[in-house]
This record gives sequence, structure tokens and C-alpha cells, in this order.
Amino acid sequence: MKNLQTSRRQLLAALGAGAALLPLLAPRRGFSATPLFPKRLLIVTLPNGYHSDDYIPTGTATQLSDLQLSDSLSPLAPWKDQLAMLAPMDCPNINAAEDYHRSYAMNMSGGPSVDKQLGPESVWSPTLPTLDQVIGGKLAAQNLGLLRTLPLRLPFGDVFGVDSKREALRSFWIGENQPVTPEVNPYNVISSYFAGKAANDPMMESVRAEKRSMLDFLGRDLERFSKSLGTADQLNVAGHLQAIRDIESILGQTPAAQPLVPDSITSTAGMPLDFNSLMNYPALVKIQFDLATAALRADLTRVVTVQLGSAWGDAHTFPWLPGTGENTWHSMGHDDGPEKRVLDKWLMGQFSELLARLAAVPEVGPNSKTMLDNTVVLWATTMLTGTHTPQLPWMLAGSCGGAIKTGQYLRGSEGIPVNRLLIDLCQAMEVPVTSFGDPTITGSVPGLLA
Amino acid sequence: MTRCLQFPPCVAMALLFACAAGCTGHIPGSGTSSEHAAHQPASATNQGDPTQGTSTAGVGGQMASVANPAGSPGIRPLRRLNRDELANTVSDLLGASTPVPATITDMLSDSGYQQSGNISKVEAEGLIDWTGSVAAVGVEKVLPLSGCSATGATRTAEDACARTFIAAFGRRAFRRPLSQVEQDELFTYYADKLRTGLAYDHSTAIRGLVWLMLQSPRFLYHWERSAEPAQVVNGQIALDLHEIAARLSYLFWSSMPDDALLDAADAGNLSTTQQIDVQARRLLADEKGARVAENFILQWVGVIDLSRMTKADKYAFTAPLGAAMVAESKRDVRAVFGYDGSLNRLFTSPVTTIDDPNLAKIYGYTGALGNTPITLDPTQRAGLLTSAAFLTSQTLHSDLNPIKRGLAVVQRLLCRTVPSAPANVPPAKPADPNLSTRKRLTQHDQNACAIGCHAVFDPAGMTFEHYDGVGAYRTMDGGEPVDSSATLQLDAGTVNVADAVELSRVLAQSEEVRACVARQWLRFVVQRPDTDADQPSLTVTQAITQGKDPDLRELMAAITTTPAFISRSPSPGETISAEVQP
Repeated sequence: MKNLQTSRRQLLAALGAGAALLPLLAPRRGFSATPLFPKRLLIVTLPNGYHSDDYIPTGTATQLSDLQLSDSLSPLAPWKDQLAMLAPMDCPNINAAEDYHRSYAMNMSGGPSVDKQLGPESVWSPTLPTLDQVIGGKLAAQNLGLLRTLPLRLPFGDVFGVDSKREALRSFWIGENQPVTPEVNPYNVISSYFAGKAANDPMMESVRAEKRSMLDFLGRDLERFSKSLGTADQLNVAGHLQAIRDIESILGQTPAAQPLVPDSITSTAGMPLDFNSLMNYPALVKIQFDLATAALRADLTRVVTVQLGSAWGDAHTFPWLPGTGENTWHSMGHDDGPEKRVLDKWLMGQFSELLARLAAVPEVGPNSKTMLDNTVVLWATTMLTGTHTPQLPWMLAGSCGGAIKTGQYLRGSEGIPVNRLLIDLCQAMEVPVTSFGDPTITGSVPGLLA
Repeated sequence: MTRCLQFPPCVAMALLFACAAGCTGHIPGSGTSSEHAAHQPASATNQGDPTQGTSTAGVGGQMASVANPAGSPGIRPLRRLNRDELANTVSDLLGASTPVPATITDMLSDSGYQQSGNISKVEAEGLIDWTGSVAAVGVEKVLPLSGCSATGATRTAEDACARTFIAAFGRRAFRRPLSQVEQDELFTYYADKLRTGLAYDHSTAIRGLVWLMLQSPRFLYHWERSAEPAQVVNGQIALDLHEIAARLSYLFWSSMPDDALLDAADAGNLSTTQQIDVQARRLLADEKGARVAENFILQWVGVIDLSRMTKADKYAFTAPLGAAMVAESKRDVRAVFGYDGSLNRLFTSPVTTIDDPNLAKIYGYTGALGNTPITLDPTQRAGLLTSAAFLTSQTLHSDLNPIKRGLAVVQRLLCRTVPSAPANVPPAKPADPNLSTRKRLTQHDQNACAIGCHAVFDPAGMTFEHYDGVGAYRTMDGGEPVDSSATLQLDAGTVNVADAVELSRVLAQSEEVRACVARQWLRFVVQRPDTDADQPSLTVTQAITQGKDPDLRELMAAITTTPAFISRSPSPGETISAEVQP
């Protein structure tokens, strides 16, 4: 991170003309007054699982330090103490294998889906909010000005095909019919989410005043409009209304003291990256992870999500990654060959670098030394292997302020409903629930919580 | 419809029935339905309920004459204007050509067609910025609607002008007359902009009003009715005349109604099936009417936006080439619809136009480029299924193309459903330069769990084996001569075809495809999967395509007088006024 004052000019150049409206980037709340740091949740979603031999560590111990990670997972070796790897769980509300290319939201909501019953043309929608919305919504309600979530994504190489199904494109949902669109454009993220109040700019202030008045009108208009509609359409409009309220909330934010911007963004100054290009994927992963870290550090929100691929990956190639040929993420999953291992290892390298970013932010408190200690990262793929093996091999990193016992491979999670992990994560984030997505499923993942 | 007189003799006989029905507004099998009122004439301000005062001559009674009286038109889900619709609408409304931002996305609908996505924060922000630009660019064009001269007006005069503007612009932007309450609220918003700290002048405040109105749910969503609870008659809700006007224009033009259509709705002149039919044919015959042909036909067969496709390096595929492919197919569709609308012609004609040198290479064409129709080798090319756009759209990176091409034929053209892929799919046979695609897939097919699925679609896909990943013709694959023969199980019986040219001929004459295109058109129009309840509407559309080579223009027009188009079922949870039992 660097002080924006030194790089603001380059940043503006990178952002183009629209950036004249760019406000300063900054932590919104200072932490110096209190040693108690907030707990954060960072969820990363990705499709197509791991190579079939690679996820489960070698050995019979439970402590990761006594277990051997596969070569694909070896980039995580330095973080063994910070990891909690879960033996593949079950998602009881998903029943057919192909659903694992539609199941992001069902995994994250723990609830059943609405199936439009059209065979392969069917579209799946969750019926309940996903983990990020439950936790982010609760925290935002408790903390004035806190944004519910920051949803980010990477380019998917999506073309108009199965990859365009909304359940494949959207991991996170406010509820039925209300998918949350993640932001692929990092420049938008800066100008939108990090938008503090631009100081001493009367022109800017008049635009903001007009926007505030407009949003206020629109909010009331949407509420009224919604009343004459059926339930499903009302939910659709409720998502729209929520968006308007979120934007109002951002507009209402106060200016920041210490402007910060990720290095990865300023390094592209003068030549903005094409954020839809798969060729820029590695640079964009870096940028989005930097933005995720910056948002958590600045306490803009306590829940960030990053979606690395569509649930299919049918058009997602890695032409810049030697050893993956011209294969798609999807086809590498089915082939289960050396290409998949190359990709998996690269992804684990990114996971490792993400943890390094979080661990680079000092947060010395009763249960923490760095921001990673106050965070829980959920690294969630939709299936155990890319050949439609229907289990969920999810990993956690960070102890969430001491709430999660890290350093272990949790054999007790094998085959248990993922709902129990969702319950535990709420618990860890101090959003207590007794069930998540399915009232008949209660209890914890054995041995996960401290 | 004047086009009825222009059909070449070879198809005139086949079209006689459909054409006669279309020209007079009668629906096949509907008897004298056009004499029945679909709606009672609405008042000019459209504040009344459109079904009020009707008896059996209302929508319920008219349904009974169309088909199964127990049939339901199905719900009409709320949809945002899609990207094309937004772009065309602001162009027609404000003369603005500001591109719709990439954050406003369309997706694949439940029924397999382009459909607008929802509005969450990313889209809402994109809309705020975009509509702000559109309002700034377009306000000058619409300001005259206020009737005010540019300068020197008093505040009182300006206020009157603002009210005039709100009524006139609102009617076009919201595609229906505004209620007095709506007009008052918008006026208050306008007046606030002049009197608050912003202290805008008249035209700036009007600009602000336009910005606001372009973000209104009444602009953004296809829902052109007042907030009053809908009245249900016989389990059905008759669409408001302004809803029908907008539905017609967005179906055929992907844009807002023109003045003639809005006037017709205002005057109650969309109340009978005949009046609706007249407007439908007017829109179809308009230059903008080609949009629906391109949109529906290409989406139906499975041509996707190729400007974002990536292919293996060996194909030297670029975004401009992909765009040229789609443009070629659009021209082909446009040409057929400008001539006779023949389904058979769409799938068998070797005639096309090529204006791109790289596309010419793919077709092995060496003549002059341009818009002059040329005839490709008819042993290699026959209509849409052998077009570069289709063949490239339905491919896999692994070049196991028969899977997707076969699926497209089976699901899209034959309307069949295919079972979901099973759990624990075995790894595919890796690509091997010395192994033909057919052999790779044949080995795959030996696998017990693959038989159930691949046997359904691989045979149709194999017929396309003469075309590589971008649709170039080839005679060798994996070191051996291409074998594109296949045995297909159609409803009419078992058919052996030698290649995709023969497949296209068989499909173009198949009753199964004719029935399917009528079903697909219904799905496209209602923007949801069809259900058993849609049978009355399906009966109408399938009557157009059954037993003959259909004119697809007739199919397109015919749906506008079906229950699925002019009425809807109440949505679950919708507040309705007490059900009326006629």
C-alpha cells in the first residue's frame, strides 16, 4: 500500500476522464482509539474442485503440521498453522451431480433451490440468503455506515452460453430472485466503494446532492411499484431497492483521514488493465485481492467476496499459464490430468499470497497480531473433483479473532452437512444462529470452534 | 399485409391458409374471434380498468373461442429492459447513442433466450451514470415537449411548461399516460431542484427530471400499468392496452412504441384481435421489424455473441472475425425474412453474402467481397446450421464439437430434453492428433454412464464433422477421412444422413422441427418456459407451422392475438381486486 497523495495523479490517469469524480481512498474509521479489531469474513469461490488425488493430505494425524500436503496444495505449506482444512462435506440440498455447476448459491445458503424443471435448460435459484448476506446484513445493521458486503469477481471468459446462466455467474444472493452482481472492474470499485466525500469541491457536492435526492425519490417509488407485484417480482424489486439503499449509504459516508490505494492499482497507472481480458487474469487476481484487503483494513465492510470463476468454467482458459494448454477450467476438471494440477497449484499460490497480504497488516490485540488473525477466509469450490464428485472440500484460514481452531485437518467434517459450517462461521463472526438454511440441521463442525 | 401478394408461386399455395388468416386478423381455429372485443375501449387517460364493463365479450369469452377455455395464459414475470432494448429506447426517446455500460448484463433465460439480468448495486450504479449521460445529451431534443420558449419565461410559465413536459415525456418514457398523482410528484421533484440549494434553472431541472425518470421502475421494467390491483376474470388478467402496445413494440422492434402505437392504445384501438394484428404486421413490415427475426432465429439455433469467444491459436480466431460471422448470419436471416420467411430456406439455402476476407477464407470463397448474394458449394453449405456463426458458437475448446452441435440440434431444433450429466463422470479421452473426434467420442460412448446422454445427441453432432472449430470445411480428421454419417431417431422414424447438409434438409422438412419452432417462438415471446397451460396459445402457433413449410413471419404475427400475449395469469402473491365470475 502506498499513500495516495504520491500516486493520485497516476491513478487519475489510469482511471480516465471519469475519474475526475474520484474521491480519496481512506480508512473510514480509525482503529487507534481501541485495540479491539473487528472480525472479518472473506469468501473466495471457484468451480471444478481439485485433482482427484490432491485435496486430502497424506497421513493419519489431525494436526496439519504432521500431515503432508500434495504438490498442488504445497503453496499453502507455510500457512499450515493458520489453516483449518475440512474433510469433504455434503450439501444435502443438492442432489444431482450436474447441480454442482449450479450450486454456488445453494452451498452458501444451505437451503433448497427453486428448479425451473426444464432439464439442462433449467435455472436454479436459491430460496434463502447466502452466508455473506446474513453476516454482512447483520453487521451493517449494527454498525452505522458499514457496507454489507463488497462483492468482487474476476473475468470468466464468459460467452453467451451455459456460462451465462445466472446461477453460474452469481455465487451470492440476497434471497430468491436477488442475485448480487460482483464487480469485475477494479476502477469502479475504487470510485464507488472507497468513495469518501470529496473535500471542498462544490461541483461534486451538487452532483451528490442531486443524487441523494434522486435516490430518495427512487427508493420510495420502488417501494410503491413493488406493492402491485407478485411475490417473485417483489423479491426482484427488493434487490433493486436494496441496491439504491446501498448507494445512498455510500453517498452518506464521511471523508477519510489516511488515503490508501493498493500498489497493484497504481502500478497500472497510465494504462488501465482490460479487466474483462483473461490475459490479465493474474494481474487482476492480485488487484482484486488487494482491494479486498484494503476494504477490510479500512473497515468499509467486514464481509468481502471474490468469485474466481463461473460455476462452469466452460470458456475460462489460462493461456498465460504454461502447462494448461488451451484447455478450459471445465475441461481440465473432467480430464483430471496434469493440466489441472498446474492450475490448482497456481490457484493455491494465489491463496497463499492472499494470506500473506492479510498477515502483512499489523493488528496487535488480545487475540491477534495481524489482520489475518481477525479474519476468516473461506476458500470454497463447488465439488471435490472436476469430474462431478459431489462433495465440498472447503478450507478456512485465519482464526477470526481466536474463534476458530486452526492448524488442523478436520476429519470429523467428512460427509456432514455444510450447513453446520455455515452455522459455525456465523458463530465465529458473532452473528449467532441456531441453524442456517435448514432448520432441521443444527450443531457444529466437530472440533472447529475454539 | 401487402407482403401476402408478393410470395413467389412456389410457396404461395402452402402459405395461403396462414396468409389469409393473417390478413384478415382471424386466428386459425378461432372462428370469428376478431369480431369479439379483446378489451373494451379504454378511456384516453387509461385510468379505468380495461376489463370493467365487459361481459363474456371480454378476454375470458374471447379465450373460449380461441381454444381450451380452461387454458391459462401463464404468468408474466417482471423483466427489466435488456441491453438492446435500453439502447434502442433511449435512441428513440432522446436521440441518445450513449452505449449501455458493460455492467448492465443480459443472461440466458429459463427458456434459453437472452434475458435482462436483475438490478443489484453494480447495475444500479451503472444505470445512474449512464442515464445521467443520456439525460444530459438528450434533454435538448425533448425540451420542446414542454412548449416553453428557451428564455424569458416567468416562473409561473415555467411551472406550467414543466407540467406539460411531465405529461408528454412521461407518456413516452413510461409508455402509458401518467396518473395525476404521478405527475404531481414529479412536478414536486422538479420544483425542488429550482428552489433548494441547488437552484437549478428550468432546463437544468428538466434535465434532472429526465435523469430521474430514466431510472424509474416504470421506465426500466416492462410493466406499463397503473398501481391499481389488476382485475381477474376467469382466472386471467387482460393486459392493459398500453401493455399490449409496449409488448408489440419491444417484441418486434426491441424498442418503445412509436406515436402511432401509443395513440392507438390511448384511443382504445388495440381492443380487438384485428386491431392488434394490424399493428403487429405494421411493426413487422417496418425496417426495424428485422430485429426480431435476427434476435429470435439466431438465438433459437444457438448463435452466440462471438466477439467474446476465444479459440485455440491454430484457428487464428479474432473478435472482428467472430463479429463478421454473426453479421453474415444476420444478413442471411434478414434476406429470408425479406423474401418469403421460409423455414426451409433458412436451413437449406447455400446463398449468402461475405464481406470479410477472413470469413471468406473459412468458406473457401475467393470472389469479390461485399453485399452481393453469392452461392456457396451446395454440397458443403446449406443454411444456418452450416454457417460459420452456428458452427463456431457450438464448439468446445477441446474440439469435441459433436457434443454441443448435437445438443443444439436436439434441444433447440427438436425441443427435446436431455438428462443431466451423472455424478462421477469419468475423465474424457485426451486430445490426440492421431485420433479423430469420432473415435474419441466413440470410446467415450462405450462407457455405461455416457450411453444414456451421449447416445441422445452425439449422432446429430457427428454430422457436422466436416467442419472444424470455426466452421471451415475439412475432409480429414485425425489422419483419416472424415465420416459425418449418422443414424437419427426422429419422431417420424429412423433416418440415415450422410452429413450436415442432408441433416439440414431433413430437419427443414421435419414436422418435429416445425412444431418446435412454434414452441420456441412462444418461449421467446413469453420469456419463460412454456407449460401445459400454454397449450391454447401453442395450438395457435403450431397451426401456422404444421403440415407445410411455414412462413415464419406469419408465425410471428399470429402469437400477438393469443392468450399468452394479450393476457396473463395472476402471479402468486399478487394483490388483485376480487375475482369476477362472468
